[in-house]
Amino acid sequence: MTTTTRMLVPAVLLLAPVVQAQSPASLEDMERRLEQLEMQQYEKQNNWSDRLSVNGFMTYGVTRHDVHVRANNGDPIDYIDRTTDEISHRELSRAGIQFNATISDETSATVQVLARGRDDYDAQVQWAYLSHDLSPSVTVRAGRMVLPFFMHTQYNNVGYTYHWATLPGEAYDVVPFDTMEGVDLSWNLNTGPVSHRLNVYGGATDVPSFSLPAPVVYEVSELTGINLTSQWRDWTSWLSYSHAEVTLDLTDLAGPTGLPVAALEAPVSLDEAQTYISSVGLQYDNGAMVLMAERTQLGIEGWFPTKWGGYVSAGYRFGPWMPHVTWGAANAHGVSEAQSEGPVAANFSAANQVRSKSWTLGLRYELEVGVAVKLEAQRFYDMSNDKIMTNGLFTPQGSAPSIEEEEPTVFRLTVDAAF
Amino acid sequence: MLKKVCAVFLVLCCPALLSAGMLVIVAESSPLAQMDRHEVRQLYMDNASRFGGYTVTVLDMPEGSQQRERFYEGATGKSASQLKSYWARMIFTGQGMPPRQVKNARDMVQQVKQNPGAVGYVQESDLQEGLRVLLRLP
Repeated sequence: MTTTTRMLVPAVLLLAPVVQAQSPASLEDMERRLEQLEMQQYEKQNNWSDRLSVNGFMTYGVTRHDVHVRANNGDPIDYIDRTTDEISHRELSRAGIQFNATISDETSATVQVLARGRDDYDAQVQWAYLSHDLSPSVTVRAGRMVLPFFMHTQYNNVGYTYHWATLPGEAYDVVPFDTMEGVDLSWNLNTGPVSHRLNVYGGATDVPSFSLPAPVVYEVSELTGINLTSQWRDWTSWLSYSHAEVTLDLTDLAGPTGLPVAALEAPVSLDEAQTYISSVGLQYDNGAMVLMAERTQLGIEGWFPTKWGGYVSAGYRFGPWMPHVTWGAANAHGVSEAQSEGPVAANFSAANQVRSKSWTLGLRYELEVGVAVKLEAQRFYDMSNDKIMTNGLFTPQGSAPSIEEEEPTVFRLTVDAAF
Repeated sequence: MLKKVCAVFLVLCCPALLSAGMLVIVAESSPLAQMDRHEVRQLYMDNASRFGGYTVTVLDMPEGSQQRERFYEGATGKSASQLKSYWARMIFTGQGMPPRQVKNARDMVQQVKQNPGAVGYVQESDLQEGLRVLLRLP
């Protein structure tokens, strides 16, 4: 019983003789009225708590690699532009909070703010959209959303939702992705025992890149995509295809590269180059065993190499413990074809090539419901062949010596929570 | 003898031991007639608002309660932490929110009784008049 209803009880009792004088009310009537008042009060509270929900997630992580040779300029070798051979407490650490407000039975507003250690915890809005149910199974959203390129991209910051400390780099760090401004439409449907979620979207975004001599921005327009998640018993499949036009003005690189502006104009600069991003994935989770596999691909018309990445992962839950193993690979082709676009394009193409394979061994421990501790080591190999000379996802050859002989391994320890 | 006394005492004091399975319930006046395990799983994992052509409200026990763990184990085969992970994916990608949680078993019974569209679950010992069982979970 709430404070208000407690106060109402004596009031009702005090008024009882008056009520009785006007029309004799039985004790049962008064009990019923009291119950109604209690229900009204309960519904009011219920409505309020139903209208606004707050959820959050957090990761504290430490990471480093074990390659102690230096890059040509004397700096430490880095993994995905950031992790070095010194322990970083910031690279993996992040926190996010999400507010969801129900406007009506069909409409709601959602804002999710993310602060990453690697960005000095500067908060960024990752999701900010209005959602409207056109029918019980069709929902349309408009605003800022994380791009649904691959199977796990939309919740890649919520570490608690997957068994790794970080998503497999070969698939998830080869294609830079983040957010878009646009509209999406989702349709939930069933075909027999299989339930599906079909999602189509359209929008635009800018993707910064650091793989060339100076930071550049890929302007991604006319971005449209479709993805289908299907679930049958313990199996979930994922298919996605996205298309965009990419514009990349490289004339600003004249200064850092010392090249004449004319050498950096089209076809080196990209003008609405046709681009596709695709992914196919499969998951199995019977409560004890987890299997996952995915292959992702990015192709941009012109000198940019076509890149693909993928992984196969298996894990088994023994109570709160879950050991897992993952094999990942990434590769690129089309670098030699870029020669036809001229030596500058060929150089930029080579700077964007990738080749890498890795084995990841990890252990996840469920500290309590909503909190997991993860430990993993990822050992890289096969980063060069007779056509491609790379350092995989580490500082590229050209800026650093070959590190393959160093048997590069990245270590990670994270504590992930969702609440 | 002492062991037998202890066993009888335990059985008497812990009705939960006698009825491990949970019952999926609706109000007697509910238009819903029956539901199989697959449908219960889909209803709860989607927090669906429609079922069999009717508007429904799916009710859940509070996080951390034993009844909730037993219900999901029976209906979906998922543990509490797997469920948490599943809903974290849904919430933080805007694909859905989990079912509304009631305060306790008494609240569950009361809300299901008062709302013909509500679907909930209780253990055998909490079953009352005015409720209808749609499915007995293992």
